[in-house]
Order: sequence, then structure tokens, then C-alpha cells
Amino acid sequence: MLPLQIGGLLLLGVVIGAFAVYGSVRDSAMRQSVRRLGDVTDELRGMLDANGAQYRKVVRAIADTAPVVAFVRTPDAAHHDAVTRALEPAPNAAKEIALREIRSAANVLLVRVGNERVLLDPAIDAALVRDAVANNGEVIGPIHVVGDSVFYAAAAPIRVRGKPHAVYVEWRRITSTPEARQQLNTLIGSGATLLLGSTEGGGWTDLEHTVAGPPVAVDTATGPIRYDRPETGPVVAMARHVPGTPWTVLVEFSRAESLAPAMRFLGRFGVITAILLVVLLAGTWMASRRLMRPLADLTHAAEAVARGQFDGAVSAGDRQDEIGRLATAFTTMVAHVRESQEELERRVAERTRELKERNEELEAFGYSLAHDLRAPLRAMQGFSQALLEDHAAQLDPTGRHYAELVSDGAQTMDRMILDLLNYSRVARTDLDNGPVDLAQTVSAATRQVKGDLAARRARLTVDPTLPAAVGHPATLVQVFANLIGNAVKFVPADRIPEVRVRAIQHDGTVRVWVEDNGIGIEPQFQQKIFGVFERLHGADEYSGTGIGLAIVRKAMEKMGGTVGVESAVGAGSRFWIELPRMEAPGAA
Amino acid sequence: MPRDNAVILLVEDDANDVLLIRRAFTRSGAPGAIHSVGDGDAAVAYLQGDAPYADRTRHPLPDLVLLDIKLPRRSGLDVLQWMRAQIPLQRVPTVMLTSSRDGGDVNRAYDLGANSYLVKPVSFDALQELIQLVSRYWNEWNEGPPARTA
Repeated sequence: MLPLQIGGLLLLGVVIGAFAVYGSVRDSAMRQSVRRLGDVTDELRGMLDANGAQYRKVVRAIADTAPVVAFVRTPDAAHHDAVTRALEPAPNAAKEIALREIRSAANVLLVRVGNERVLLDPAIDAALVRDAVANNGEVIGPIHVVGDSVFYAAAAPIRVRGKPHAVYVEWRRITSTPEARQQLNTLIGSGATLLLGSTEGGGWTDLEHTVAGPPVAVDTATGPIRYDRPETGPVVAMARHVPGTPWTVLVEFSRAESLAPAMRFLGRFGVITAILLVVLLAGTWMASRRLMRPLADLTHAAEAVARGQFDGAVSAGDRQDEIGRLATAFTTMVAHVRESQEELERRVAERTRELKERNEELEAFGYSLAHDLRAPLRAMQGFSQALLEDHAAQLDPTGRHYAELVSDGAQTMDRMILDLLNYSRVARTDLDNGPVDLAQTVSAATRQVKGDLAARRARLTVDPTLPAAVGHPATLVQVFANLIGNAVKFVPADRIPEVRVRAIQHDGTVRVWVEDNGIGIEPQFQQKIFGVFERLHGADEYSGTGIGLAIVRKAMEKMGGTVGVESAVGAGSRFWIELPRMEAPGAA
Repeated sequence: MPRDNAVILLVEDDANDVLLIRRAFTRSGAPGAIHSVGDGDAAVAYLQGDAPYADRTRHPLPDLVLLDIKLPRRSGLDVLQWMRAQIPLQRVPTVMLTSSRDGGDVNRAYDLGANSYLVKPVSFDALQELIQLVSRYWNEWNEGPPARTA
């Protein structure tokens, strides 16, 4: 975006400058046009002036020729014939000379040579005759345009003893050869139009055709006149009256033509501007790349920091400017943040280590305490038993019963301590899970509870196709020992316990069921029983520490598995554990 | 080779345990005698024949040592380490008999040359069974190192 903005601003500056230059070029072009217009017009006027003077001399000379004067003196048939012959134009001038007439001072036609009378305006003849007689001098008539023919007339008084007796009138046709037009064009230049007209009307001509006159009065103006031509657009014109004639010469320059140099300048300037713009854009793009690259690097580095990566440094080369300093400051800042982060991590690690040490100390303490507690228990149990065995005779039945209670209490407490030690070991140890052969595991667990099974003459059925799973073998042995032990234990005394172990494989998991025909569990207790020291029955009814299922649940949590129970009072219980399935094909 | 006069040295600081182990030994009907000392230093003194154990007729060298770990003055592991460094004592069968099930203690005991590691049960019946098995195993079935000629 930035290069575009810079380029746009530069372009704007260039365009404003261009228009200022264009304005002055235009003014100068216009001034030059006007000056040339004035020169051309003056030159044309001079030419026409000379022409007029020449023409007056011509008609004077004809008016003074002998046949003319003789005819005016003696207007008989012989003289008439003579003058008619004399006035017959030479063949090479026949095209130019439209009509020759001799008229009386009262404008009565006396002699006529030529046949284009129909085209010509009698009013002009009348005016010429009147003026020539009145002034006793030559007059030139206005431009008379009829269709594509342009005529003008001149008259000279025919004098007899110095007095005007009659008037010689000659009409000429303006003919322009291609060469003449070429010459004229060279004179006035391209884009310019020469117009010839009369002050008293009679139309305007470009010496070839009738043309519309200017829409404003031009004969009073001395400077350049501006107006619109419907067919060519705005023009600048200069008008000059030709002295000694009623003619006005008008030269029109098309404004567009006058301004052509300015337009050419503008065109060239457009090309230059385009090139300049490309160069400028390329320049600003490269400059901005140099400017933006480190900023882009900074942005990426900042995003990396936002993602928590503190290892990136921003290189700005050896730049000494603000960007270089920004990059350096940013790198320093990231380094500080990284140091703080590392310091924080170091302190967390230290705290963790301290906590772990404390934990280990506490564990060792608990362990040691538990074992030390067993020594007095051993004494209580051992000596109460010794009392019963060695001194039974000295005790009455109540005394012997009390000694038995001491012994039982000590043994119960010992089991509790052992179970608590187990629980705490399971809870604190991180288990390394691996492949587990569930058949072997259940078999090992069965051996542990062999005594309980035998005592109740329980029937244990184990599915022979127990699969492999993922878990911690030794811990799983304990889990199954606890579950099978419970399955045997919580059966009414008058019922033979029947325990069944089987597995169901699901997608990615194995669920092993341990089912019994025991007393069952009421629904509201089915979650509670997995808590530590949760017992549903009195110790005299069903012995136990209330820790076995807590160990099972904790162990399953540690192995990433789950445990649950389905049961109904009196209908037995179905405990299950679920473990990830072993996916190894063909495991040995 | 069964020895009727097998001597067991019990290193145990808990007087109750000493009494219970002696009773278990007696009730097990195993032949031989138990001598006991109450701390690590006493055990070393007994084994070296220092006073007050200089009289070897009253305080004979043991065929088996039952060694507790948590002992006053010198721990059972220290005693074991010392024993294994003494030429006349280095092969004497030594069974750790302790309350500790701590994995570190177990490993250390085996590293130092313990022949067995047993945890004292709370139940007297179990204790009696254990003592009976130990004395029969080590004194009747186990072939001990041949006695050195003085």
C-alpha cells in the first residue's frame, strides 16, 4: 500500500506541475497565434490594397481609351460597334472578366459585353455609377457572392472635357487556381481560413464558396476577436478593412489549431509523465521494500513471540536508522522476555523438585511410620495370643474373649495399615504401562486370594480366552485380587460363592467382568463404594478395611482405564474394568 | 547337614520382638539356640569377640544372623557392610528381618550381601511359621560355609 500512496502523491505533484506548464505553453502559443494572425491579416490587406489600386488604374485606363470616349461623345451605331469590339476581353482574361458595361451618368445601360448579368446585383451597378459620377473618380464595389461564384465590380467615370458623361463598369470573377490556393495557404498557414467580405453586406467568401459571415460585427475591431463557428468550433479572428474598397479581410484561426503546440506538449508530457510514474513507482517500491522488509521481519518475530517462541532475533543488518534501532530494541526485549521465561521455568522446576523431595520425604515418613506402627501391633497380637496359649488356665472365659479381641483388633489394624500403604503406593507411583497378558494376571491374582477361595469353597470360572491389554501387570494383579477377593467375601455364609471372570472386546478397549452371586449393592452406594474407608457392612458381618475398591479405582485411573459396577440387591454384582486393547499382532 | 547346636544371632532392638521371636523359635521346636543383641555396636562387639562377648563358650560365633535394619548406634546395613569386610565373617549367612519394606532398603541389603530379606509379620502365627521355616532352611537344608580351622 505504501508504495502506491507515495507514487500517487508524486503523480499528483507531477500532474499539477504539468498543468501549470501547460497553461503557460498555451498562453504563449495563443500569443504567438494572435501575432501571426495579425501579420497575416495585415499582409493580406496590403495585397488586396495593392490589388484595388491596380484595378482602379485598369478601369481608369479602359475608361480613357479612344473607342470608349468616342462612343460617349457620339453614341451612334458605328461607335457602338467599335466600342463593343474594343471591350471584348482578351481570350486569356475572358474567364476572369464577367461583364463590361458602359452606363450613362443616369445609370442607363449603353453598352454591354459579357452575358453574366443575371448573376449580378443591379443595385451595386447603380451605387457604383452614382459614386463614380459624384466623385468623378474610380470606385470599387463590394464583394458579391452568388452561389459558388464570387464577383466584384469597379467603375470609372468616362470623362468628356474632364466631366463625367458616362461610367465604365467592369465585373470580375474571382477565380482561384489550385496553385493560387496553395500560395495562399502557405501564406496564412494551416488551420487558418481567409474570408473576404464587404462592410455593407453582400456575403462572405473564402474565395471559393459562399460562407457564413462571422457572428459578430468585425469591421470595428482592431484586436483579435473570439467567437464560435458552428462547424469548426471556437476561433480567433483578425479583421482588416481594405482602404479604398468596401472590402474587409478576415482571417480565422481555429483555436484548437492555435493551441496545437500546447496540445502536443501535453501529449508528450503525458508520455513523459507515464514513464516518470513507472520509474517513481518502481523507485518507491524498492525504497519501501528496504523500509518494509525489516518491519515484516519484526512482525513475524512478534507473531512468533505471541506463539511463545522466544528464540527468534530480528536482523536489521547494520542499519542505524529508526528501524534498525527498533529491531535492536525488539531483539533485546525478546531476550529479556526469554530470560524472564527461563527464570520462571527454572524456578518452577526448582519448586517442583522441592515439592517432589517433600513428597518423597513424606512418603518415606508414612512408610516408616506404618512399619513402626506394626511393631506394637505385633506385640499386642503376639502377647495376647501368648496369653491365650500359655496362660489360658488362669483366665476365665471373659478374659480369654478379651484377649481374643485384642488379637483380632491388632490384626485388623495391621491389614488397614498394609492396605493404606498399598493405596498410597498406587496413588503416588507413576505406572509404566505395557502389554499385559490378562490370563496370567488373573491367574496370579487367584493365587493371592487362594486362601479366601478355599475357605469359602468358592467356584471360580475364568474365561480361557482372556486377551492382552495395555496396563501395569503388578498393579493389575492387585486389582483382580481385590475384585475376586470381594466377590468371594460378600456372599451370604449359607451360599457357595460363584465367581466368573470374562472379557468383552470393544473398539480399542477390553472390558473384563468379575461377576459374583453375592449380596449385591444398592444403587445409591454403587459409586460410594470406590471411596477410601467406605464400608457398607459391619466388620462382624463382612470383614474388610474399606480400602480395596479405592485401590482398584486409583489403580485404574493410573493405568488410563476405568472401573464400574452393575448390581442389584440380592442379585449379585458385576464389577468391570476397562483397559486399552493390545493391538500387537501375533504377540509372543 | 543338620546341626543340633546351631547358633542364631538375633540383632533386634525391640525387646517385645526379641521375646516374640524367641517364643516362636521355641514353639517351632527347631534345634539350636538364639543369642540376641540390642544394637549395631553390640552386634559388632559380639561378632568380634570384644567384651562383654569375649567368652566364645558363652557367646559362640553364629551359624546364622537375623539382622534388623533400624537399630540404635549402628544400622543393620552398616553391620552387614562391616561383616562382609571381615574375612572370618564374610560368608556367615545373614537374613534381614525387619519391618521395612522400603525398596531402597531391600536393594541396599542385597547389594551389601544379604542372603535373604524378610519382613516381620504382625500375626504371631505367621511369625512362628516364618521363624520355623528360616531355622529349618538355614540350619537343616542349607549348606553353610565350612567352619574355619582356628
